[in-house]
Amino acid sequence: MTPKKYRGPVMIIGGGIAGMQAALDLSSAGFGSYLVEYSSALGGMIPNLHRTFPVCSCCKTDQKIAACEQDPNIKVMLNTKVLNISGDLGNFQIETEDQDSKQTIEAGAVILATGTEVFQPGDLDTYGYGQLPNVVTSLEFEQMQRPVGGNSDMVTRPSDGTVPKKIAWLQCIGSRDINRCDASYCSSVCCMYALKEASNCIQSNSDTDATIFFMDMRTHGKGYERYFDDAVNKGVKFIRSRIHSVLPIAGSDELEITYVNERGEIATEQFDLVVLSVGLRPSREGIELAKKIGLKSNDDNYIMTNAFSPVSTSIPGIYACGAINGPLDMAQSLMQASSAASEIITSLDPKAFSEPKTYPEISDVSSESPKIFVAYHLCPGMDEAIGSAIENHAKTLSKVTAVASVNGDILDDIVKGIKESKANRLVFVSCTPITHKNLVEEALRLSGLNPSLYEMVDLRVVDTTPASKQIQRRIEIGVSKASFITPTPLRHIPVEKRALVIGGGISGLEGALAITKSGFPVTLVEKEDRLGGNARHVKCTWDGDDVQDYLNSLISQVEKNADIDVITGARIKDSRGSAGNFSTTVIQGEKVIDVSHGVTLIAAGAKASIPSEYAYGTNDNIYTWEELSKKLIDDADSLSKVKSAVFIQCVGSRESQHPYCSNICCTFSVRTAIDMKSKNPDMNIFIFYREMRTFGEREALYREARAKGIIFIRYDLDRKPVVESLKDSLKITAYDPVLGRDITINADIVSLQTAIVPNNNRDLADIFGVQLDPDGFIADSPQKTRPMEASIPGIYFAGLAHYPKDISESITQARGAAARMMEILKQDTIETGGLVAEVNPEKCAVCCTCVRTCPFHVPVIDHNRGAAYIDPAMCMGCGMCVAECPGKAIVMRGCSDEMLNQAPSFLMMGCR
Amino acid sequence: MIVAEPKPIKEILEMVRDYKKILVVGCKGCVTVCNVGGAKEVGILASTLRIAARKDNREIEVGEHTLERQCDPEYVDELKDIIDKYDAVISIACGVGPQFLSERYPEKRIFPGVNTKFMGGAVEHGIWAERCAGCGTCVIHYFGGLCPIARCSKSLMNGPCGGSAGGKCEVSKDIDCVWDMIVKKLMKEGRLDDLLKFRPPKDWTTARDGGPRRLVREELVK
Repeated sequence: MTPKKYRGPVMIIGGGIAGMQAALDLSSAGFGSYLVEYSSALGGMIPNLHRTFPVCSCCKTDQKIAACEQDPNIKVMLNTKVLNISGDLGNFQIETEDQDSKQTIEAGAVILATGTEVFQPGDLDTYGYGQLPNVVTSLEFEQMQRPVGGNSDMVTRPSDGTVPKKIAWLQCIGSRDINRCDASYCSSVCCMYALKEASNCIQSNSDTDATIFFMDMRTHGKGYERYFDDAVNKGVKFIRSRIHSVLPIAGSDELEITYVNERGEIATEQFDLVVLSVGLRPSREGIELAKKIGLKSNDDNYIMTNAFSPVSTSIPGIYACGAINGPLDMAQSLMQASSAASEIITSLDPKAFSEPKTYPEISDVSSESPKIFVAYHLCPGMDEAIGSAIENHAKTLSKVTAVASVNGDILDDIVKGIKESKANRLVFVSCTPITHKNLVEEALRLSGLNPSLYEMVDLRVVDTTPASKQIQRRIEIGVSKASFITPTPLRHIPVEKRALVIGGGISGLEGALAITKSGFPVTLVEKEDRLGGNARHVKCTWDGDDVQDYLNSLISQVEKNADIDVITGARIKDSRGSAGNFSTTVIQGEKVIDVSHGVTLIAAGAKASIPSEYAYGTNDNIYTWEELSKKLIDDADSLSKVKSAVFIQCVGSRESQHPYCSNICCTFSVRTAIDMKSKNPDMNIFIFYREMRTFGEREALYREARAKGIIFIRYDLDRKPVVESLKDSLKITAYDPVLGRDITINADIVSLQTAIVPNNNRDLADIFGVQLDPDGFIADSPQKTRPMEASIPGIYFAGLAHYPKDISESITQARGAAARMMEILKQDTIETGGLVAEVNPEKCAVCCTCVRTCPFHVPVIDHNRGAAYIDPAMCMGCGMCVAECPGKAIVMRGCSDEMLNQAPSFLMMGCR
Repeated sequence: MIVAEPKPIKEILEMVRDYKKILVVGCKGCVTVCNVGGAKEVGILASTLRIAARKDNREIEVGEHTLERQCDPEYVDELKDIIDKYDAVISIACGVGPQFLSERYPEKRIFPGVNTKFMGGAVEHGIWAERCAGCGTCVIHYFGGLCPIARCSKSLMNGPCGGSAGGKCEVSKDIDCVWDMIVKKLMKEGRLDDLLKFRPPKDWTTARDGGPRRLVREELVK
C-alpha cells in the first residue's frame, strides 16, 4: 500500500455519541485521537434521555464511554474548550483550554462533533413555559420518566407531585416556525420522541390519557411507522392542530388548550401536564467555533456540507458529523461519525499513540488449583471503608492469594497484581464492573492468562455500612464462582483481507472505493450488466445537485481502480464462514467464481413497486416516480407542454402490504414539482398526500413549493383520490378536507410515488444468515447502536437494502460501513471461542429449540452429526440456548450449572 | 411428535405427597422436543419437589434420570440399578412412558407428570397443533394434503358443515375450518371435482373404534 501524503493523529471536538464513535472507529484503524469535551463527562445528549427508540440503548452509551476512556489510542480531554484551529490538512494546530492551562495540539485532521441542544421555549410566552409549572419541555419530561430515583417509572407533575392523568404533547415547538422561532426546518426527531414518551407513559400507567397535537406525523425512518401504528393501538390520541396557547385555569394547576379540529370546529380540553416537543438547534459551542475558523454554515446555522460528501466541510481536513450537521437522530449521527472516520482513514496515514500490543503465550492453568487475585476499584466519592471491608474479608478466604486496590491505572495494576501474586484467576470488584469488561480481559491476556478466567462483583446498590454482610457475601460468591471457571478454548483464524461488496449502486460503489482507499482490495458483484443502480434514474438530490455527473465520475473511479474486481451480470450462490473468513461463490453466466473475503457489504438496493391502482397501466401519462424521473433525464422537453400535473403520495406505502413509510417520496415530489413549476410557472401542480414528510431541512422545499403556488391536498386511506383515464386527459376526483367536498382536477400527467420494496434481500439473508426486519429490509444488529452492521458479525449494509433513504444518507452509510470494517480487516487474525455455547451431540434431541430461540440465529442442525451445531466464531455468548435447551445438551464453559448451583449455598453458608 | 404439557404442579405434589424417595424420569424422545419431558424439565420438576418439601419441613430425596426413550424396553431396563432406591417414580414422558415403567417395575408406584395431548407439530416455537388422529387408514391425499379426521371438529369426510363461517369453525375462533381450507386449496389447484368422486365409507375399524390396537409386522418378528 503506498503511503499517503498526510499523516497524524486526529482532533475530535465533542464527546457525544458521534464523537465517541468516530474516536473508536479511528482507533481500530490505528489512529490516535484527542477527544475534547467541554463538559465534565462523555456522553452528550443521549444519557439525558429516558429511552432511545426502539428500545433502551442508553447502556450502550456507557459501554462506548468506557471504551473511549480505556482505549490507549484515545486521549479524553474533559472540561476542555477549543479556542481556535489553524493550519491545514495534515497539519492543524488546535488551541485548547482547560481549568488549568492552555495548550496547542498538533493533528492531521479535525472532526467537529459538537452536537445539538434543544430549543428554549421561554420566549414563546403563549405557552407559559417558565411561568406555569406543569408546562415542561420534552427533555425535562424524559428526565421525569427516568426510573432512577424514587418515582420508579411513574411520572409526577412538578406543581404538586401527583401522577398526571391527562397529558398533551405539542409538536413543532421551535421547529417549522419562521415567525417566532427563526427555525424554518423540521427538527425531524420530535415526532418519534413524542410517540415514545406517550407510549411509555401508557405502558407504565395504563390510565394515562395521552394526546399529541401535531401538524404532520413524521415517522419516516426504519421501523418508525410501526411504532406509530403501535402507539395508535396503545390508545395515544392524535389531533391535527397546531396549538397557539396554553392557558392556566384559575384556582387549579390544570391547563387549558383550545384548538380547531379537522372539521373546523373549536374545542377546548383540560390537561394535567403539557409537554412542549422542543426542536433541535446546533450547539452554541459548535457555531461559535465554526464562525471563528471560517467554516461555512447554512441559513439554519448547521455546518454546510455537500450532498455527495456529507461530512466534509468547507475546509479540507475538517469534517463534521452528527447533530451539528442538521437535525439528525442517533442512528444517523452514528453513521456520520463512522463516515467521518472513513474520510480520515482514506486520506491520512495513521499515527497511533501506542504501539499495537503483543501478548505473552497463554499458560495452561487447568490442572492448577485456583489461586485468586481480588482487585477492587472504588469510584471517586465512595466510602474508603468499603475498600477495607473488601480487603479484610477477601484475605480470609482460602483460595485468595492477594487483594489489592486498582484505583490508579486499572490495567497496569491488575497485571502487576496477578504477576506478583502468581494468581491464576481474577475477581474484579467495582461499581457496574461490566463497563470494565474489555479492560479486565485485556489485563488477563497481558498476564498470560486465558481471558475467561475472571469473575465480576458489582458494588452497585450495596449496603454501604462498613464490613457489611452484603459485601462479604458478594465477594464470597465471586471468589467461589471464579474458582469453578475452566479456561475456554480459543482459536485464531487468519483474516482474509478483502471485502465483498454486493450491489453496484451508489452505496456499493462508495463502499468499495472507501475500502480500497483504506488499503484493502474489493470484489464488487452487480446483478445487472452495468453499474449505477437506481441512481441512473435520479436527476438531482433534494438540494438540487446533479446526480448523473456525480454518478458517472464515481463509476469511472471504480472501473479504473485496480484494487476493485467488478463482476457484473452476476449473482451470489452461497457463502460459508464467519467474520474474518468468508468463502462465497459468485455465478456469472456459466462461470463460477470463488471469493475469499473477511467482510461483506450488502448494498443490494431496492426498487419502486409497480402499482395496481390509480389506473396505472391504462394511460401512458400515468407514471411511477421512477418513470417520471427517467423521463426528466432523457426527455424533459416532452413535459414542457404539460399544463396540469398531479402527484399522488403513499402509493402502496403505509398500507397493509407495505406498512412502512418509503421516506424519500415526499421530498421527491416537492423537489420535482418545484423544478417543473420553475421551468413553466403557468403549470398547475397538485400534490395529494397523507402526511407531508419533508423532514429536517427539506422543510424549506415544502415552504418554497407552497410559495410557488403548488397546491397540497391531504387525503385519508378511506377516501383515496380516484384517477380516470379520459380520451385526451386524466381526471382526478378527490375529497378536499379544507373545502369539505369533492373536487375534480383535469391533469395531463399523474406521478404515482409508489412504495420502495427490497430487491432480493430474502435470498441474501438466507445465504449470509442475516436477519430481515418485518418489512423485508436488512435488520440492524440486535446489539443496537450499530446502524451499519447486520445481525451476524462481519456483515455490513448500506443504502436502500437497509431502508429507503436519500443519496447523501446512502453515501454516509456506505463510507461509514467501510470504517466499521477496519475493526476486522486491520487484524491479522480473529479470535473465536471464549464465552460461547457448545452442543453435546450425545444429548441433543435435534428439537430446534436453540435454532428458534437464538436472537442471532447462529445454531443450525448439522445433519452429518445428527445434532445442533453452534459456530464458535459466530456465537455471541448470550446463553439463551443454554437456558432453553430442553435436553440440557448445550453448555457454556465458564458459566456452568455447577457454578450457578453452588453459588446459593455459598451465599447462605459462606465458603471458608 | 406426541405433544404433551406439564401437569399442574399442585396435582403432582398431591400424587406423591406420601413418598419420601422419588425418582423423576424424563424421555429424550418427543417430550424433549416439545419442551416438556427432557433433562431440563426433569431438573426443574425435581427442584420444585425439593423446594415444596423444604417449605413443608419434610425430608425428601429426589433422583433425576432421563432415558433415551421410555417406549422401548431396552431403555426402560436402564433404571433397574437405581430404581430400588426410590419408592415412587414420576414419568414425564407421554402416556406410554408410565405404562412401560409400570409393566417393567410392577412393585413401584409410577405417576404421570405430564398430560399427553395429541399427535402434532410445532407451528412456531411454543405453539403446537394437532395434525393426526391415528385413524389407521390415511386419507390425506384425497383432501389436498389436509386431514379432515384430525382437523375437523366433527371429523367430517364431506364438509364443510353449517358451522363454518369466515374460514373458522363454530367450536372456537381459534380453530381454522379445515374444510374451508380443503375447498379453497382444491379450487386453487383446479381439482375441486375430486371431491365429487364416490368413495366407499371409511373403515373405522382401524381407528379406536376397533378397540385397543396392536400391530404385528411379520417380517420383523422372529
